[in-house]
Amino acid sequence: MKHNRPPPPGQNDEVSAGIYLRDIRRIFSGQAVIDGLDLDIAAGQFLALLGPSGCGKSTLLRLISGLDQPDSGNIDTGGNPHLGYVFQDASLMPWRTVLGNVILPLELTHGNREEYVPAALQMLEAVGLAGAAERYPNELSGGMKMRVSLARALITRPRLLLLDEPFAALDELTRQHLDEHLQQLWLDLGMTVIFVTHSITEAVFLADRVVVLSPEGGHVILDAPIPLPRPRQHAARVTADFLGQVQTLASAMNSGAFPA
Amino acid sequence: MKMPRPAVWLPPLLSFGLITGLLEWTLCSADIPEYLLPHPSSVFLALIQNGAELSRAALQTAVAASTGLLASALIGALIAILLCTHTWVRRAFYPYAVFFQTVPIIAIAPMLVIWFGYGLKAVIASAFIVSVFPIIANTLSGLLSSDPALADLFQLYRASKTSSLLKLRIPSALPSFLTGLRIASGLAVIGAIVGEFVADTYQNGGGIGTAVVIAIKEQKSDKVFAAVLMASLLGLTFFALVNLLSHLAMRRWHMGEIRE
Repeated sequence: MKHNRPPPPGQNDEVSAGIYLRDIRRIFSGQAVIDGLDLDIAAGQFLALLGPSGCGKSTLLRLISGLDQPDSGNIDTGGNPHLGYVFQDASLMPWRTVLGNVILPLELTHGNREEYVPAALQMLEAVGLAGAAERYPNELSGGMKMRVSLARALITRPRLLLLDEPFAALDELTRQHLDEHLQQLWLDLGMTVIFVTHSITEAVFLADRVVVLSPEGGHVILDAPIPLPRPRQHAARVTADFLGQVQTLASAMNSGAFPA
Repeated sequence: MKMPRPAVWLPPLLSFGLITGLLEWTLCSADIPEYLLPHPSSVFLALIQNGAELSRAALQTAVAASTGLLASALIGALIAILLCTHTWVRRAFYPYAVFFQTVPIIAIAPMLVIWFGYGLKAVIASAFIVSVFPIIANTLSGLLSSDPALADLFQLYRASKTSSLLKLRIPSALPSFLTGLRIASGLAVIGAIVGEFVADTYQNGGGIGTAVVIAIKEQKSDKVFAAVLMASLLGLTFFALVNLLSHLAMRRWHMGEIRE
């Protein structure tokens, strides 16, 4: 594996995948969770999916990843991109060290384990856990576990990273810290990111574009660009621009009837 | 493992002294004959007088019980893996595993003599039969209940069935297997003693079960209770050894370790 610094995000298909969803429908026990969804995501884009619980955000991620199949409609992810997936819980293997957990995806796809130790150590350094390689998950804080989970998702250098409310269980301060770290990883690696969250401020802080789904049927009720400069710093959270964006999204989510 | 504090071991010790003292006093003052219910002091005396004989008997029972338990652990775990990986086999045969668990060993013990003849083989078979089912049931439930997010991850990276089994299911099942082993350890001792009731050859004096049978025939009720006490000590030793094994196997996990 080469570790050349990838080109800047937004245009290179080598490091990022564009996604095209057409008329997606997914039905669970007679009820359409997603009903006729169209969505295009440009390669290298950081997209936040926002919406109340049960609006089909997680279902959409599972459909894009191929873990679940739609009842009808087309999903085009440009062939078969390397995927990274981060779940709401860190979901680490308690019987493996941090290093053993991070290496897992390469071990499963390529077999040999020892060969990838340097790559895994490098990725641990990238998420700020350089010293923790030989520790076990139960010795880590919630935030550190999430960093391991992030490193595990990124170890294959995915062109598409899917995150399903990854920091929802963490305290606010840890969460803001991880948001900043995730932004930096994305700026460095340049993959396409779909980030599911129910926090409006988190979505505004991280994303190029925020898509709000309706509570029922998974329709897009708002699709807004977030034209704030990058890298966004912690202080950006209290600027008028930032708060204005948050305000717009909040009222859209409350009314629930914003035109797409 | 840290040494427990006096607050932990003192209460059971005090209650033991109180109960035996009260029992001794009641039996003395009510003039209940020794052959009906031996005084605790006579039981202790019998334990000391027959110490060498009972220890040797306990050792013989321990050999049979541990052989049966070892066979249960190996064969039970293999059966659980087979039932886990083959859904049809599981549906067809798991009900029998549940059914056999309810068969009282004492009722079929005489049959073991017909099948295996008098001697160690029948005793081991008896220990095996009672201890194998809790291992199958517990290991199977552990194999089938690995973290769904990790299972998704294995699917995402297209892991083979073999590596899912070796790297996810089997390690996930370790705590449940050890729980099964803990239950099985006590049962194996009981199974061996029941086996000795019907199948012991009295060679080298026989096991604990044999000692009980002989003492009853000789109407030495104090020796019966001394042998029963010895059997309990043996069961406790097995339980403690399995706990130690669990502790060693799970010390990396910490959280999964069961403290009692």
